[in-house]
Amino acid sequence: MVPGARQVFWSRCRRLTGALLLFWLVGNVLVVWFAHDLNRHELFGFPGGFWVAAQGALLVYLGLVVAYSAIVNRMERRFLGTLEPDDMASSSQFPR
Amino acid sequence: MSEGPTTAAERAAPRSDWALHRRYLLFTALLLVFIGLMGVAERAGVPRAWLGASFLIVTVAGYAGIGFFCRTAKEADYFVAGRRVPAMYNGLATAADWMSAASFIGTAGVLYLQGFAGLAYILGWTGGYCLVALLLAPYLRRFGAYTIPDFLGARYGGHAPRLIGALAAIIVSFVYVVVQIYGVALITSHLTGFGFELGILVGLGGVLVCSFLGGMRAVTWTQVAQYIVLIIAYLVPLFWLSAKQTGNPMPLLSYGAQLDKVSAREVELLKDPRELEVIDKLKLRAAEAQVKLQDVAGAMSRDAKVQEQRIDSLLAERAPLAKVQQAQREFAARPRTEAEGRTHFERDRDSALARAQPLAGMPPQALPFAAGSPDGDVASRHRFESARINFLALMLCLMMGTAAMPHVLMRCYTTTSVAQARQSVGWSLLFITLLYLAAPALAVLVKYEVLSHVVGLPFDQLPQWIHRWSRLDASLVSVQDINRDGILQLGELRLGGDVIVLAAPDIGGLPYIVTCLVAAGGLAAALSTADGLLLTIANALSHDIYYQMLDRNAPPLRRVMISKILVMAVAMLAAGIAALRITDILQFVSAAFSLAAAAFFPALVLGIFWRRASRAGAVAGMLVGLGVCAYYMATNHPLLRGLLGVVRPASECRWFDVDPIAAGVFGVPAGWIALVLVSLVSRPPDEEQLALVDRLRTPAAKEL
Repeated sequence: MVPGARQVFWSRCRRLTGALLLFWLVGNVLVVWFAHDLNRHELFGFPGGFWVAAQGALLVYLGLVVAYSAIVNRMERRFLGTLEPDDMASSSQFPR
Repeated sequence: MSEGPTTAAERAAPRSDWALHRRYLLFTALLLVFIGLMGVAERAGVPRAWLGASFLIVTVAGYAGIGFFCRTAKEADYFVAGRRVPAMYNGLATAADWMSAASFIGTAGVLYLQGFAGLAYILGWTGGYCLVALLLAPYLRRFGAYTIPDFLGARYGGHAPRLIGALAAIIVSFVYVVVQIYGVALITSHLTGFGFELGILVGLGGVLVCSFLGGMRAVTWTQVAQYIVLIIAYLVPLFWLSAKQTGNPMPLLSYGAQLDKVSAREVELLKDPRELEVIDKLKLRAAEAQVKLQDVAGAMSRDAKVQEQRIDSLLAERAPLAKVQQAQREFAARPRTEAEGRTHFERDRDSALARAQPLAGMPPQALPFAAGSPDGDVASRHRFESARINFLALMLCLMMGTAAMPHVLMRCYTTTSVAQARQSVGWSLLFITLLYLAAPALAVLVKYEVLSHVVGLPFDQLPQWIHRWSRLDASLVSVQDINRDGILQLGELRLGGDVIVLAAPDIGGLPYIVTCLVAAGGLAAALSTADGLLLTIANALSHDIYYQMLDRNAPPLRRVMISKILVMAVAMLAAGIAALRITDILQFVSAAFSLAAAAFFPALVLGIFWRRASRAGAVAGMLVGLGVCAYYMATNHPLLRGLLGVVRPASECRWFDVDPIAAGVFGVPAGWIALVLVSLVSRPPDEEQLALVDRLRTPAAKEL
């Protein structure tokens, strides 16, 4: 195995998870907090606050989950590409 | 942990996806043909009861057929569907698992009654999947066991975390399954005219046939079918209503125009002198009840005398029998003791006061936190802030609860690989979002129909659905000419939340088969969730408590057998409790979310992301979380306060003005802090547990 490849993979994965969750949390809180003010603006024919809570946020959640799985699945394939045949055997046989 | 007797051939050749696609496309086609045939039958004049019954029988028989076809006694098949479910199908099954009777029947109802406030459920129940996807699903799949307590047991070691996890899973799922069976019975009795109890039995049969014969494998493949039924059933009336109202059959993203009309109509109704008259009359009624409360005994005897005189005069003027019987029933049901009389008058007063609100107590549909206004006086600003905080608290609580519901997390184990587990959450969220995008749209369209076409009708021209539903259950629909002008005002119409979706086709004037289809969809939603929950409970009992703690030598076949017997027993017990008819579906479901979030969320997430999390820490975290949650609910929920005899004033028990429904918002941080603090001062995890954490974090070429 490339030295430290595991640590690199994990710290990248953790950073990505942290960043996406931070965006998710801050976005959620802001949208709810300012829903009343957002309603003064029109979005796609709806009062803005209503639209974000009834549709916009849901589509963003979907985007977040799809983006996460695409990025991490690609990272995982690359990581596995760096493994030697020996590691293949050992990494699948962790003690349980 | 043995993987059970799965043969190498079975693993090497998973079902081809195309074979699956073909099967479910065929299922969908058959379903559409069946709906078409029923439509023809309705035109031909087949009686309604027959149409309803055939929808019930055909769909339940379909699920039973799939369940029977997938029957199994193999351990890996029974507990985790052989871990052979492709991502998209796992997503479909998760979506069906997830969308319960409450989602299907209740959500649009809450959105109709509470307007913007109901969107907290929509956001919570979809946003939670971000937590599932990022924090839990891939790691649980890589761990690759059978149950969620399994994970706690392996990560923290010892029996305590596993036992607490198993008990929490059982309690949470049991509350939830009772609600599903209640939903099944409500729908069945509506669909066929059977009694409520008989409805429970029918539903029970439908649930058992799947989970009993084939465990997770049968449940997975029936759930896929049930999702197809429920989404068609939800979208057909929506598209149809929209085409009728606006000429645009694709309302999902464009019902803003209808929302504008609803808002305009609301402004009109707020100033309508007749509505104001109804409100005044209701206030008067509340004041009268208040006067009666001064002298309960006297008021009771006066009321009884009035009722007797009324019966006599009805008999004397030879009024229709139904009217006389109605009066006699009211007389027979009068309060007998002074205590009964007091609660009777109090209820009169409170219900009159609750209804004596503008727009029958419904806040304007599109206005957030309508209890107050940021531009109003101090009290109004305070109510606005409180509504905003409660919205936020409920949303976060439902999100964390979503990421802790054992029956959904269990579905992370059934995919073919870790990468597929990640994708599977995306598919789940897509299929779930489809319904949750539709719910606010349906609420708006139904409200438009009610506000502009039903309100203002003369009482002798009310549509049929009002009579039919109020006969079925007066708590769901009732009308009363309060200001005696012969015209229906909004304040005189009471619609229960549970009826909005079920009656939407009626309200919009669609053919009766659409009503049947919606009911069949609600049934599918309730059955699929009940299946998943029953399996969770039975597996926690048989796998975690019996096998892991009591008898490590039990052979796989016996474990599956025990789980099957437990499924049966738990289903019976849940049906017995559902027969007590505990109403108000959503309240109880939300309580389950708070408890699940507090019990599992910190222990699962920190178990993966923090190596130092220790056994003592996990136990402390789970207990503190559950304890804080239970304490907050017990001291703040009116029902529980009454049961437990809490005397401290309700206003003193509140923290940050948060409703008890969102107790998890305190339980989770409390559990989180307890877990961290106790972990830091207790023995660190041992080698084996640290190796497990490392394995969870490292991709492997071959996964279990």
